[in-house]
Amino acid sequence: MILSIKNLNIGFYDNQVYKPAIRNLSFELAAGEVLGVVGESGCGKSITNYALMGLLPSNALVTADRLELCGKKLLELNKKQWRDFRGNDVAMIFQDPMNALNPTITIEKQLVEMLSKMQKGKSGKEYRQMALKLLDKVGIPAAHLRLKNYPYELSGGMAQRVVIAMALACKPSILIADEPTTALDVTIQAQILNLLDQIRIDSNMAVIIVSHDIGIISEYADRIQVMYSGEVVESGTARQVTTNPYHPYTKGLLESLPGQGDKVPKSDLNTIPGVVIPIERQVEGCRYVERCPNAQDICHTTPPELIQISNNLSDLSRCHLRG
Amino acid sequence: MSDFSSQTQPAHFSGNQKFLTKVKLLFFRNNPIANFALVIILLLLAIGYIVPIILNLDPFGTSSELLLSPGTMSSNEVYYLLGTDDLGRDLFSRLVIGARSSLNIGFFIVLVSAFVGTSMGLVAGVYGGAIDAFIMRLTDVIMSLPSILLAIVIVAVLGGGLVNAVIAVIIVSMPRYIRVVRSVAMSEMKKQYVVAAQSFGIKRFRILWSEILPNCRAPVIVQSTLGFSEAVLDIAALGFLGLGARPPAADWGAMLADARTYIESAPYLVVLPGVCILITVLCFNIVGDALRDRFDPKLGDSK
Repeated sequence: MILSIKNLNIGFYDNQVYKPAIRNLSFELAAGEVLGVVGESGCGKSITNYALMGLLPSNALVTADRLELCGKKLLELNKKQWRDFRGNDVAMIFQDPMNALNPTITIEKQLVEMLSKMQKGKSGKEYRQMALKLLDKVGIPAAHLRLKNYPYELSGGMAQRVVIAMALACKPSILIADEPTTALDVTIQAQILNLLDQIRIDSNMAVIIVSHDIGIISEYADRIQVMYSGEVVESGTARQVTTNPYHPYTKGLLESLPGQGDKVPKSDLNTIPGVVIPIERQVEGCRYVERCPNAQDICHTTPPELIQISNNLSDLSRCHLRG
Repeated sequence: MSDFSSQTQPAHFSGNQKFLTKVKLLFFRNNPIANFALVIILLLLAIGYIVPIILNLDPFGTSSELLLSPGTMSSNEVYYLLGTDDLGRDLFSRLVIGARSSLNIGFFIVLVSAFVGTSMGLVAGVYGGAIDAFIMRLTDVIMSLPSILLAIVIVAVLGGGLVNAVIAVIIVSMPRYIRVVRSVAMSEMKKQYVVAAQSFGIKRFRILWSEILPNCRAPVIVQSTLGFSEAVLDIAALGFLGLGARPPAADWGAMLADARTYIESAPYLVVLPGVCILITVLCFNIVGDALRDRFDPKLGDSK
């Protein structure tokens, strides 16, 4: 396994008060595998990624029984080791490509800076050639012209391809894609996801793809992890989660997709009532209870465990109700 | 049809047109006052650096003709455009050489204070913590006193003379650069492209140098333009108080101080260097404000 996490807990100190954000998160990821992480805004998807990158603020507290990536115990890394680890072993692409690129520097300079960090001791001309190859690899036409461009001169899709090229310059073992298509047009979304998939196949790289759109995730992920308010509520193969969902929250997400909830398309989409509870709030029972259509008395008093729901060991759900 | 197709042909610029385009970029759209000020600054630069080469000016040579009015001919048929001072020195020569001296000193002060101030501001904004606290308390102390008063104190400690006056003005100029750059650095550090750079394992110093510094360009240029006028004014003020350039140096401030005695009998001795200081400071301030407007994202590219 390239990534192994057991009982990861993340919290933040706010005026000496500890506020938990992620609770008992566990999963594993193999080389070449795609893990899709789904959930509403504020459920802790990005916090987990930032923890894997060592980019959480200084007031964060990260604990885990096991947190290993590419054979390195992440909780034991010092600042310098983190810096060497980032980029070399793990890289990240962000949801808004326009903000992920420096507006005052040309694409060439930004790519060359990445390459010179990763592969020292080459000439400027060699770095430029490598940058051109990377842009070709991510499907940017007339790459030699694009190198001279500033980010504002590129379209959203082009800019995201440049960000992917920068991530590829690192040759990472794991690529974390934090909502890589949110800021893009629907037509461009598929292109970017296909590109990521192609790169994964070519380099046998593991990918964690984060999104709030379970429809998109289901097409590209091998396994899906559904998060709600800092907890994994359902986890399993993409097929299991999307065709036979167990947790009411997963069902709600799938039913809210256009044309999914009912056989006959209708004018009103299904919605999940209420809002996600704040990530730091402590709750007696299930964290989804206030929004759950099937809530029982036990749901209000006892927090559910993550239990196996099929013959497959990785198919898990956090619900008291058996189906 | 042919008309339409000819209109849609790509424009091929001649060398002259390209030059004119570059010249246009130098000026401000919809701001005639700033453009006028910019022309005056360019004239000042020409007067300060080109005129002394063309004309054989002697700011120190004395003549027997003392306090000659502007535009009069001396007895030995030498024409004094702006007259002579109390020692018979050509006032035009002294003002032109004074312009060059003021511009040189202004540029030097801006260069050093911008470099040191920007460096300290970047370090404070990027590294934070104790370094930031120390640098900011230092700037608070400097900024809590009026700049000219602090400059006088520094010159009093170091001793008079132009070099010490320049050091004093550099010290009092730095805090503005530190503050401007620190605020930019702190806001940029929160931007996603900096987080992206960190996620690729780029060192903090390299982030400071190649990610954040380019974004400080606009505010530093604006502050430098405004700082230039302040530097000229402060050096002139110190010269006026006898703490700057030593006689017989052609310094506008010192010329003002020397001319005080003749304010009634030869008012041009006071008016001319005073007007030079006024025009220089005013024009640089106007251009500085125009640059601030141009670089302000809230105003777009209207200026």
